[in-house]
Formats: sequence, C-alpha cells, structure tokens
Amino acid sequence: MAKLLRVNMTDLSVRFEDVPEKYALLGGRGLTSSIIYDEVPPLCHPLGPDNKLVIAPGIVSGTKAPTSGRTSFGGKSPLTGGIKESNAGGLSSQKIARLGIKAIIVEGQPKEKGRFYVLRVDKDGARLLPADHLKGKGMYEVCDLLWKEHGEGVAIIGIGPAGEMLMSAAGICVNDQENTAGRYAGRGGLGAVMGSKGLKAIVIDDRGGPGVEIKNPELFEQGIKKLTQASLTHDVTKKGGALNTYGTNVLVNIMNEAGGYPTRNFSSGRFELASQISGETKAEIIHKRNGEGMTGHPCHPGCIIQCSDRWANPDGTFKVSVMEYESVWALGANCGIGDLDKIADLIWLCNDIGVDTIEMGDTIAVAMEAGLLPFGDADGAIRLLNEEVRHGTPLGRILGNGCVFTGRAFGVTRVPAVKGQGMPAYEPRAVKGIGVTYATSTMGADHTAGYTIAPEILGVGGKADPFAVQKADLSRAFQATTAFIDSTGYCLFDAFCVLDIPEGFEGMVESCAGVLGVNWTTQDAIRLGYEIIRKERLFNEAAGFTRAHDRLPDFMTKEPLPPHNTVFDVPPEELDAVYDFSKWPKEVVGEVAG
Amino acid sequence: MIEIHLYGDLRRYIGQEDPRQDAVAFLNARLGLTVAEALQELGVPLDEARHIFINGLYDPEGLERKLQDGDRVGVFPRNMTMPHIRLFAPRTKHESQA
Ligand code: SF4
Repeated sequence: MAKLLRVNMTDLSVRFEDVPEKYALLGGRGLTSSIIYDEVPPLCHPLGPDNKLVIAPGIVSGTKAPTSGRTSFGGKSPLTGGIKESNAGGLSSQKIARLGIKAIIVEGQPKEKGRFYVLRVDKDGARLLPADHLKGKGMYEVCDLLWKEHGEGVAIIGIGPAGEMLMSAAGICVNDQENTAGRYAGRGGLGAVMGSKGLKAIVIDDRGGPGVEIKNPELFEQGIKKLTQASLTHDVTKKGGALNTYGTNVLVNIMNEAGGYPTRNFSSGRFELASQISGETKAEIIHKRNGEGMTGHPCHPGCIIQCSDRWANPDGTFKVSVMEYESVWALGANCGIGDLDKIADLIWLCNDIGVDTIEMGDTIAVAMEAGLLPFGDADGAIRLLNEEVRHGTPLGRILGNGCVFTGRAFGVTRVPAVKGQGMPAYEPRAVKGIGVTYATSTMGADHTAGYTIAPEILGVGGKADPFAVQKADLSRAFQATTAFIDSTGYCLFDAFCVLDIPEGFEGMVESCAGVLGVNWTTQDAIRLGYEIIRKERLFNEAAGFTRAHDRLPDFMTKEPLPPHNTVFDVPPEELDAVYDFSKWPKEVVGEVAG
Repeated sequence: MIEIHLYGDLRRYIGQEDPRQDAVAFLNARLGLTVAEALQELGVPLDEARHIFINGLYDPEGLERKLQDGDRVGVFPRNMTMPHIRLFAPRTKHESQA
C-alpha cells in the first residue's frame, strides 16, 4: 500500500502514514491541491510555519505508461497569495512513485533560521541530513555534489540561492538523466516555500523500491496502447512532429505570424527578430554545431514525445537545457533580445540561481521599461541576474520578487500580470481566449490551462464547432481538463494528441483507471478536473480573492496592441461566468453548490 | 503587392532555407487570386500547407480566400501544426468578405 511521507521541519522528524480513503484515487495536482485545501489555512503567510509544500507524482507515474514522469508541487503561493500547483519533468516523479510514496508533505519550520537540510528518501525510509555545505550554492553545483554523495542516477529536487533568500520568483528544480539542473516547477514562488522550510534539496533513490501496484493490468495495458498510438500518429507529438523536431519553440513563428508574440514588455505582438530565435533556427544551430547539443531530448526516461533539447556553445560544448518556448520568449523577445546564445546565458543563470524564467523575463522587461537598462541589452540583463539577484543585493531582492513588485518599486504601470503572477508568451489582446484563462485561472496568469480536447467529450455544446462555443465555457473546460491531466502524471503535451484523437483520451483515462482499479469513463475524468478547480477556487476565495482579481491588467483594456491594434474587450460578465458554479455543465458535474 | 511568408520545410520552395532569414515571396495582386493559386504559382504543394494566416488572422479555410493588394499571408507546414489552434478565433464571415 502506498504511503504519505510527512516531514516536520519544526522538530526535524519524518513519518510514514496510511493514505486516507479520500485521497486514494488522487495523484499529482488533484492530490496536492486537496491536501493544501484540507490542511493549509488560506490566510496563513505563505512563508510561515503553517504553509505546506506538497510533492506528488501522478496517478500513472512510475509505471511504463509513456510520457508520464511529471511531479506536481503544491502550496500557498508567495507570489499570488493563492493556491499553487506547478509541475516539472525530470527524474523525481517516477522514483517517488516507485518507492510506494503517494505524496511528500513538508510542514513546519526550523527554529534555527538560516540552517538548511537535505531530505534523503530511499527504500529504507527517509531522513534529514545537514546541508550546511550546500548553502548559497547554485543548482548546477548542488546536483554535482549530491550525485557524488548519493550515487549517480538519484533524483534531485532542489532550490538555488533565490529560494534560500525567499524570493517570490524562486522555483523548484528537478534534475534530468544527465544530472542537468534544467527542469523547473517554476511558477508561483514555490522555491521560496521550500526555502522557508529550511529544505535545500530532496534526494530520491528508488533502488529496491516496491514499484507501483497496478490493480487492473488488462485495462492499464489497453489504455497505454491507445494513448501511445495517438501520441505516435499526431502531427504535434509524433517522431519528427512539431514538438520533437523544434521543441515548444516551434510556436515562435506561429505566434509571431498571429501577431500574438508579446514583445518588449507587451508593447507589440510581433518581434522583428523572431526568425533569429525561432524553433527552426534553434534546431538548425544545434545541428550545425554538431557537438554535445541535441534536439528531441526526453526530460525523463519513458517520454516518447521528447520536446526537450540540449543547447551547445559555438565550440560544440554543452551549455544549457532547455531552450523552450516560454523561456526563450521571456528572456528574448519580451526583453527585445534576439540572440540565442545570449538567451542561453540568461536561461543558464535562471536555472542556476533558481528563479522562474517566465517571471524573470517579465521582471527584466519591466526593469527595461523603467529605464534601468535599455531593451535589447543582453549583457545588462546578465549582470542583473548574476550580480544582483544571485547575491541578494537590495536591487536583486526587488527583481527576485517578480514583475509586480518590480513595477511598484519603479513606478511602472505596464505590468503584465494577473493575481501577481507574470504572463507567459501569448498576448491576450491578440488571442482573447487565453486572456479569459489568464484572468480566471486559480493559478494567476498561467498558460498551461490552454489546451483542450474535443468539445463533445467536455460537454460544452455537443459536436459544435469549438470556435462557436462561448469563451467562458471553453476556458472553463480547458481548465478542468488541464487539472485532470495534471493529476495523472502525463505530460500536458499529451493533451495535443488527445485533443484530436478521442481514443487517445480514452486511453489516458483507462490507464489511470487500470492503476487505481476503478471503472472511469472520460466523463468521470473531466468531473475530477472540475472538482479540483472548484477546491482551488474555494481556497482562493477564503484567502481573500474576489472577482476583481479575475481581470487582466488595466493597460490591456486601453492600449491597442500592434499589429492588430486591438484591446482586450471580453466583457466582465463573461469572465465571471467561468467560476460561476451555477453555470457549470450539469451533465458533467451535476449540481454544484456555490 | 502581396507578401507570402513561408515557414519550416516550405521555405525551400522559394530557395530560402536559412531559418534566420525571413522566407518571403512577393506577388502582384490580381483580381480574384486565391491563396491556393498563389501557392501553386510559387510551387508549394497544397497538401503541405497546413495552417494559413491572412493578415495575422488564422483562417481554417485559408486556401480558398481571395487576396487583396497589401495582404500578408503566413503558411505553415504539417510538422509545424499548431498545438493551440483552438485558441485562435477564426476570421468571421464579415472579415473574410471585407
Ligand atoms: S514532452 Fe517534453 S516536457 Fe513533456 S515529458 Fe516529454 S520532454 Fe518532458
């Protein structure tokens, strides 16, 4: 039977507990958000002793299900003040699951400030070890040292100096098979929550672990067969498809052509240097340099989509992983920087210091808007990260707390954020559907809720043309589906193939049902998604959020964005409809009490 | 003048394979010229043209559209198929006739 591992940082004790019945069918985000909802007081300080950091592999993580090694991290966010789930690939999910652990709950706070610990988890249990020697160190060195101490191949979850300094832009890093510090649960400042617990890193050694119990192997096998088939045939996810060939950075030219590629702190939807930093150019340079770089890299064993990459320096030596769409945009176009090698330097620094690339890109662009440095000044941006943020200078602490904090410090009004969280790389004035999701998501401005499956499965209007569906209904359905997928352990990029191939989604659901020993229909899965976002919404309401927080920044409703010269004009009533429980689809969720 | 921007593997049809350079073909506007006809003129096989944007607006029926002087067309191949297609509002009837 799988267990919960509870780690108390106040008295430095660890304890394994049975999984309560109500959590038995949950995993990933469903589990982290439920535990936060049940155990964390919504009004607590995110960096105080009452907040908790919950870490959970997905339902099928640790099995042979393809592309299923995502780890969910949850807590109350110091950036948004609301509930947060942020997930990452890398080695941790499969190993936690194979040790028979359903979730790790880190709670309390050490009495002695400034002391840090490493949690080691293996088949014999868990213990806390002093980590004084890792204090202040960047994630690359932390990963090297921990592999030396604990053996090659162990999974590492850790924070850089930004997390230790409790910066709201701090993320949580997971190593990959090459032990590169490159996979991040970046959003929402959960690195600062981990830092506030005095936890520098977690080492997971799954050798000799019991593995994951599969209650209905037949159903499981049938499910992964269908999903694998969908994944291998869809143009986005197949070998040689969009993600495998160009990575997520395939989107640069597409969004730029659509006029929705935010440029220079969201002042234009087209970047004149887009072709210099596009997915096509990235792939071409990696192949030309013909050294340690590669495209089509899996961020964890068993990923069959392989959207990750390893970027090489001009001399062919390895530089950084991963040059993905959001990071390249945030530290590139959004800062007016059109040079992939400079962007690689900036991503490398974010990954070492332990800050979210999206939040830092938004922040540096706001600093540019404030006149601290000109747009396009890559060396200036490098200096800000390496000399200010890394060392926690007063300026570094302002920047390290994100774009809203920085905008306030320097009197900038064009700050692209919702609920305190900086926006990702889709301009809501050009792509209004995602604006609805940015505005209303329980997570703050978040792009990962932007994918969906066929509308007839979601129950948002029969076999209707998806474009004819109300934006509120579509966004709500997106958000619920994403919450379900985030609970499975499958990478959200699997959503692209189940989007067009209904058997793929059936397979995804059947593989989960096979592990859990239940009979789930696709409707049951979507219902679970709705239950998750409902709990998250209720947590946020109790934490003080109102409808006024479900709005895009003022400037986006006033300043027309070139080239389309449109403003964000989705009416407030439509935004409010997304979380109006009385408008939720009854055929999927039944009657929901408000 | 009409600008046609080609991406990914479609670049090669106009001899611009360096992805750092924009691959743009210019055609003279002609009454009733459709996107499909323009692509055929450039030698781009229609079954390789997966997603079409006209003046930055995604157009699911893009191949059939008639072009006008000053239009900008963006064409993406199959392996740059768009993960987020459902986020884009299509051109309305009104816009496409305008
Ligand atoms: S598709 Fe990409 S992000 Fe998802 S698991 Fe695979 S390599 Fe990681």
